[in-house]
Amino acid sequence: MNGSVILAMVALRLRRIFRDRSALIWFFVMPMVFSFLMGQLLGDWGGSGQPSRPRFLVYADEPGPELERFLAPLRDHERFVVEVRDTTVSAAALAEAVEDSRITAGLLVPSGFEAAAAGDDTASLRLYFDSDRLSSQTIRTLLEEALLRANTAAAARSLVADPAGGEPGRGAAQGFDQVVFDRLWEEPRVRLAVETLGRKQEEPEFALTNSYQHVGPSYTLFFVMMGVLALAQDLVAERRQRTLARLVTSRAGPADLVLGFLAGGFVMGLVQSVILLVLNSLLFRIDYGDSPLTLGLAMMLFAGVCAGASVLLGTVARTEAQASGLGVATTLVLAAMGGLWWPLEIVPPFMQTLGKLLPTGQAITVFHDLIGRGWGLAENLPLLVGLAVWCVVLTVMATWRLRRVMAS
Amino acid sequence: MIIVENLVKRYGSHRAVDGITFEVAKGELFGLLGPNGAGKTTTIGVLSTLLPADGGRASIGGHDVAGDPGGVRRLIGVVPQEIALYQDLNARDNLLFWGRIHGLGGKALGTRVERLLELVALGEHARQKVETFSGGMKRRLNLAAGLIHNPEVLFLDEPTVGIDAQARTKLLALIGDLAADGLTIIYTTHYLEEAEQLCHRIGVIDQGRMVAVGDKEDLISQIGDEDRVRVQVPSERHRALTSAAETWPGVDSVSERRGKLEIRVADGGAVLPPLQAWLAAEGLDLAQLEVIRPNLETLYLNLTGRGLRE
Repeated sequence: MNGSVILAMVALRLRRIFRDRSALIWFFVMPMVFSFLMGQLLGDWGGSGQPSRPRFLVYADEPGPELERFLAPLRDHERFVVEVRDTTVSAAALAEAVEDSRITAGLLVPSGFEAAAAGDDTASLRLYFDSDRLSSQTIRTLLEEALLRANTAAAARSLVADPAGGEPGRGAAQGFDQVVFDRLWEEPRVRLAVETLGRKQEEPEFALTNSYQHVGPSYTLFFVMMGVLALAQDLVAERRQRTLARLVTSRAGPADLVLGFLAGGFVMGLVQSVILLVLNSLLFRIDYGDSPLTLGLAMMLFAGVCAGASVLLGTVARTEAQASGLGVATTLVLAAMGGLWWPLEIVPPFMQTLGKLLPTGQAITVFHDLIGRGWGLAENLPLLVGLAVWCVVLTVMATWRLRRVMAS
Repeated sequence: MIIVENLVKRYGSHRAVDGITFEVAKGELFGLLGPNGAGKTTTIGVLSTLLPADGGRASIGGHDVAGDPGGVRRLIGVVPQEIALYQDLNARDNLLFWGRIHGLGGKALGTRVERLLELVALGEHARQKVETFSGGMKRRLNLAAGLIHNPEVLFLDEPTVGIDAQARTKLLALIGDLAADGLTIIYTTHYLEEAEQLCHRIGVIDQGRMVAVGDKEDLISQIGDEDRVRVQVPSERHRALTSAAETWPGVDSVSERRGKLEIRVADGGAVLPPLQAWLAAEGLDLAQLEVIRPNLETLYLNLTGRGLRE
């Protein structure tokens, strides 16, 4: 292998791109413009009323301050939205809403709740929840904590109240009544009856809280793929203008030339990725998580996939126009199916499965896992292996085709 | 330096090169002359290791083209018919790139680039993009790119196609200088005047076959060294003119060819006065007269029955 030949070919590729202003616009300016516009359009996914967060409906006959205090820990949660309604609903209708996935969980609050929470009465809440949904599980956990808090508060009030009518305080505490406490423990003022509803469907986990967390990486991947595939036109031009023939008859070996072409696309894709990801981070405050190794591997493998596809396309297309058309068409299809324009989480399950088999789907999912879930290398290994398989297959095919073209 | 024996290259059932044999000595400028589609570029393609041969063998500098392509590539420089340059780069960057591809680098490469730019008279245009060059300038830079690594053998495939007469003259002078410096060159062309002017020896190629090889004088001697005077008179006077012409000084033979009489004579000019006198005596007007001196075109016509540009 002759490193200086490969280096010369990579340097030539970069020089030609960086001297072409129109290419620079498409490589670096347009991705940022698209990310900005789409980010503005899609808004803040972490804000209130965000439609993609599942709803937790609370039906209370007499909503009051005790209910508000009871639900406070569940408010402003990133996984669901709490909606309180003072209308009545049947238990069956609420259960059906959960089973149909219209809501993630439902809570029926009886009319005596305010008095019970104040320690004067008892009340039994009824929760309908879906054990298969993460948001629903979270609601149950938080409700149980809130219940403990409410009952403890009610018990405390009973215990510190001075039976002689004196001021609550040190004397009252000294008069702690174990019998009263045991009765309150056995028969709490507020009870929670839980009805578990099984859904067989996977929870559509949506970890991102901000549209830029999706559009930043997705338009980076989109424009990297489009840019590197556009280099296929250069290879077709090299064939037509006979610079490829001149390369073949030079002292450089065929393997060096193949590596030179592949490395040109790979390095260009990588340079573009790094610049765009840094710009995304600075302009849109995107945090790529705690695993730079995973991020680096994903981008290198994706650039490798694009480089292989680009060389393959450049050897298959007969004209520059054909290479351009096929490159754009390939990018558009892979972007749409791989979830670059909209998150895969919102498409039907079979399309999600299909999308995650594509390099675009694998790469953007790695980004979602890094940004939204804080995952690292171990959790993303299957996706990285998928990208590596694409990279190897396309590189082998591109090498085979290019060597055939060079020998004919 | 170059040995080609019974070389064959097929495209499907078509034999683009059909058993060509020739040799080129070190320092020789060898011309492959033939019309478009004769097999010149295919021959260059095989010799420059670009195309695999289907038969025969060829070697350059002792390296077999098929068995040791790497060894051949170390010796050769190729200047394709197309402008094989990066049009969006300037002249200097193009030469630097081709130098690096050939393993050159550092100061030596810079010096070599500057020297070549001066050689092809592009020193003042070194920083100018190739796409802004005239046809002649592009051709000269194309030539310089083939010379960047100082090859021992240079293949020039129709290097003057598409350029004007002035640019062609400059380029031919440049190639003549390279040959004079001892570079071995194979030069393909369908312009016989280029082959006549430049080449030490010429191979005439037609339909994939080498129909004649030799220096200009050898080739022309194959068709005789007499001038041919062709005159058109009414056919019933052919016999009378033949009888008269055979008595004129220097006339070798008189024959009929395509409705005309062809007088072979050492000096075509010498028969014009007696011919004019005969025509006047016979009361005939001169319908058509041509004096043809032997050259490569007449040789080609003789060998193939077609003109070079047909």
